[in-house]
Amino acid sequence: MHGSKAYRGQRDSELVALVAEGDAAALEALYDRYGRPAYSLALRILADQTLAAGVVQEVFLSLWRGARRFDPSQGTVGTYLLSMTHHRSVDVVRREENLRRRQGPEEALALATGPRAGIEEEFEGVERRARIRAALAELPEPQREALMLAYFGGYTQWEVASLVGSPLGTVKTRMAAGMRRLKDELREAGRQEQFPWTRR
Amino acid sequence: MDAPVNHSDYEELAAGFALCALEPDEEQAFQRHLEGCPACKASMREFEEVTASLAFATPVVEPPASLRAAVARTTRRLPRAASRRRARTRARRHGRTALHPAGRPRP
Repeated sequence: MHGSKAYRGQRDSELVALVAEGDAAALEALYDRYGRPAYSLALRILADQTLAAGVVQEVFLSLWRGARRFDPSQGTVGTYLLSMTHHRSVDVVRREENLRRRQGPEEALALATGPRAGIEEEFEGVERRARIRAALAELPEPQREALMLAYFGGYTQWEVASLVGSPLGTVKTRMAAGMRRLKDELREAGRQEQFPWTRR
Repeated sequence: MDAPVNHSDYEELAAGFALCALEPDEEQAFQRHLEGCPACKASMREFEEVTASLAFATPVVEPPASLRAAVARTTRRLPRAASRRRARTRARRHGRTALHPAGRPRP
């Protein structure tokens, strides 16, 4: 029995406030909400279970150490945890690339089809996954390709330009256009239904 | 980096920054710019919500149980009282207070 079960109905923002007071069970409750997507993301980028677990542990440790400085006006804790996982995974994949071959562009471009067999996902994750996949599917192919190479491959804009054989300026424009469209699509979906992950 | 000449250049930088896709010199220059530009900061925050959502576009993998245990262990190894002092010292040294990726220390 995990102590974090007592926090099941708490909002994320309430959990961060408890973490700031040194409540270890509140951190575990946040891990129970975001540990799985964070680990899935880190593993996708790093293609190595040990490195992925190390990144996720470091991200939750950074929240544990810095929760008092967490400013909810700058974004939700879910966004913080997943963005931080992405940033750290990209840092690690770049650091490691001299030691081993990182995942190739083909792996970076593969789209999620859904949870693997045997994994039961909570409603929020299912909804959120469906929405981002639909939004990505709406993007013109060159925009989606540029975004996914950067996000899942950890490639810089310059590296993406050389991978796809387009001028750097074109790649920058595609990434910004793709991000803008995803933002609008997700916002539109959020208007129809409150995003559970924007809860404060 | 060359100084951006118009708003859309800044938006491109904000998108690239949120994706961690800028070259290191560009990233550092944009991070300095962000500190004094609320408009770009807001735009970057919006893009960061998109990048957080993109995490859900990858197949779900169950993390090892040892990871949850490791996260729980760090809280016992690093009690808050000690880490608060360190956080304050760090915040003073770096002149920043908020805990958010935009203010992340770069390797």
